[in-house]
Amino acid sequence: MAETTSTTEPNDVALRASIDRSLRHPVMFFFTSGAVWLALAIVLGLIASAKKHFPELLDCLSFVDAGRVDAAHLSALIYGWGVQAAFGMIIWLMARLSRKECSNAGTILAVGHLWNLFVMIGVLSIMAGKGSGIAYMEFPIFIWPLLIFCYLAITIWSLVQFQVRDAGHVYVSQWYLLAGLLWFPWLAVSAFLFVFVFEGHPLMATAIASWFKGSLFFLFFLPTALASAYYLAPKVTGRPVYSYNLALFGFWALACLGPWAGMQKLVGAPIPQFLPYMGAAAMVLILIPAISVGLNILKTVYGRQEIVAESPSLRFTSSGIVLFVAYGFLSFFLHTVPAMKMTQFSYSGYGLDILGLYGVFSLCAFGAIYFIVPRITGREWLSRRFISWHFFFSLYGVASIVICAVVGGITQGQGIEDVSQPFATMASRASQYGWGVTIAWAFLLFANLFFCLHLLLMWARLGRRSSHPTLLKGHHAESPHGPEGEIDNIGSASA
Amino acid sequence: MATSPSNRDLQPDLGETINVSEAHAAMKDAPTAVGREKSLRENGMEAVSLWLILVSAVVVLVAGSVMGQGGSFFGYGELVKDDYMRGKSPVKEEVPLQPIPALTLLQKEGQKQYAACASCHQTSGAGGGGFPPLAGSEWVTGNTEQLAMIIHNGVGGPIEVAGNSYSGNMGAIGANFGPKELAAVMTFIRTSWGNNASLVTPQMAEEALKISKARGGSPTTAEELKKNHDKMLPGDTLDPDTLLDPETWEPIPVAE
Repeated sequence: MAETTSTTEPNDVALRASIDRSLRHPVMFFFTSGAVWLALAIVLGLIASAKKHFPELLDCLSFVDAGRVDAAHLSALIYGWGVQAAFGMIIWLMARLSRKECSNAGTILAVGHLWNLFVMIGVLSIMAGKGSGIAYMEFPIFIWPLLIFCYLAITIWSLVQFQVRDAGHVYVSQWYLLAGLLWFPWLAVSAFLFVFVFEGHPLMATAIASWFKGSLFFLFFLPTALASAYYLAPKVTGRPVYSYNLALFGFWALACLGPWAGMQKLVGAPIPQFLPYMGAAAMVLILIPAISVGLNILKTVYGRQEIVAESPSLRFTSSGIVLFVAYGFLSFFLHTVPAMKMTQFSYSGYGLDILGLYGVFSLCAFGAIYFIVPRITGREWLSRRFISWHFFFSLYGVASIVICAVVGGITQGQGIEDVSQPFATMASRASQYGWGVTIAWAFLLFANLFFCLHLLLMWARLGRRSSHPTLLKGHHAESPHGPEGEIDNIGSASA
Repeated sequence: MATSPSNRDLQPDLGETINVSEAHAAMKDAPTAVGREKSLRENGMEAVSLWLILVSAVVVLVAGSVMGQGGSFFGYGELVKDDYMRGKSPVKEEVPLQPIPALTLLQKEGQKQYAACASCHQTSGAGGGGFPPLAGSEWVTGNTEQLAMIIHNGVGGPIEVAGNSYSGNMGAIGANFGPKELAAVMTFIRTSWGNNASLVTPQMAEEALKISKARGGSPTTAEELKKNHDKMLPGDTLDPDTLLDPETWEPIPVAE
């Protein structure tokens, strides 16, 4: 680890400030465009979810057919929001941890625009009915090499920064960042080749696409989220990470298990029988890294609950880590053999996916954004109320989606297994839970409209100029400087 | 990003050892959020606790039992798990009735009813032994009204069939037929043994029953048939391939 002292040196502050300045344009671009994609993905998710129990909705518009809107929703969520938020987190964290300014911000920004263009073409193609039809790889085939190229052009500089860093200890977050950086191209290239290029059995192509889906979460989104959590928890609380050994254990557990997950989706399908059961076993074993990481991060912040309550970044990050532990337990129970058989063709898999993508990854990403944006813009967040609404609606929304989808999925699975009942009985039972999921997406939409608006205001440099951070609990009366905003900061004096 | 004023060990970013003006000079253009950040510290070295290892062992056991369901490792020959099929329903499933083409349906029903005719006219429809044939008979393949009158009322007196003369002595075999049975048996004899005449629908047969009722009920004669009934029964003709509901005999609309 490069930063080992606990007192803040003026040189440190200057270096941090210059690193942040060098990165402000690309990082802000990734976060804001990601937030816009997230809002769009949630609107599509709302329509897709409503279509499952109310199929007449918008049936005059062919571009929001049930199949297309669902594919567009997940693609926008993953490649529009998820990967872009991860880009912002990766390049900022890697630069900070390697203590190197970024000298390629222009390239990153330009390629970031290309990434957005290709994702937009991809989503529009899906809605025009030109998607590839492979789950989680729905963009048309020609988009994939372009996206992989953009990925390399955006992230290669972070690898370079790591390589040229001043020698020293490699911090936990850097393990995860480096691993995620190198794993993504492996996953994307192998999935692209085996699904779209090589002539294989179409069933194996489906299996590889589901492997890609599982690994994309465990080997890219999750490492990025955990890197951010391992950075923010000690940073905001000012304490060391609880246990280095536990961090090592959690990291290697994830690294060894992640690549095996994914094919459990095809249990019972005529592919070599051990593959789906390997995937299911890996999904059960994910509980181990979930508990290890959860224990480590939560022990780090334990006893500083007042900081968790008042700091938006730590509150989002800690909630993301708690939900990661919940993900581990849910995954454990859903992938035991009887439960898997019961829930395979039901909502519950979707619930687990959303818990991972929104509950774990996105909450950690929001935490990182609430931390990073004031530093790179030099402005404080405008409204604690917006942050608070974003937090509670996100948390309740994602919890409602997961509970409705999992309980509804089990009901659905029981309905399918109950051969004395017609299919329609099962469908009508499950549709109640479908309504629940739709309403929960509306919660998330509400949360993210505030988030998106808030972030766009920050992007427009309309943030608060103050030396006081925007905290979720009032401390103004106790502040040695009197009520908030009474004394302005030196930044505004010189600007 | 948050500092807690209550913790004495957490120094503000600018400690007493730091020259304030120097520190401010360094931050002159810097955002203040950077300045109040805390540094990362060396990692803690707590040992991995025993209960975590125990919980992990339980998880590994469960995962092993899941993996055990997957058959042999890297066994690329094992494709489908034997018990991965849906169980048989304990309740007898009602198989929905399949629509049947009109010709098939009418012939099937007509063949049943023809059992009453076969004792004289034979199952081959060839007749013999003083009974006229049905195969190739102009009475059968000709106009449907006279055929319906014969079946429903019987025939008395001489009658010429397929070039030979017979003394009509046929009882009212079909007196109890409803429209469906009459239509079926007429269609059957009109389309079997090389006969290739049009179908008779239940609607046509119903008309025939009305005419027959108006007539009285005595056996018909050849002259009467020629004089009064030498015409087709009224009603729409039916294409032999039209799909009918096997219960109601109503045509089923087919999507183009």
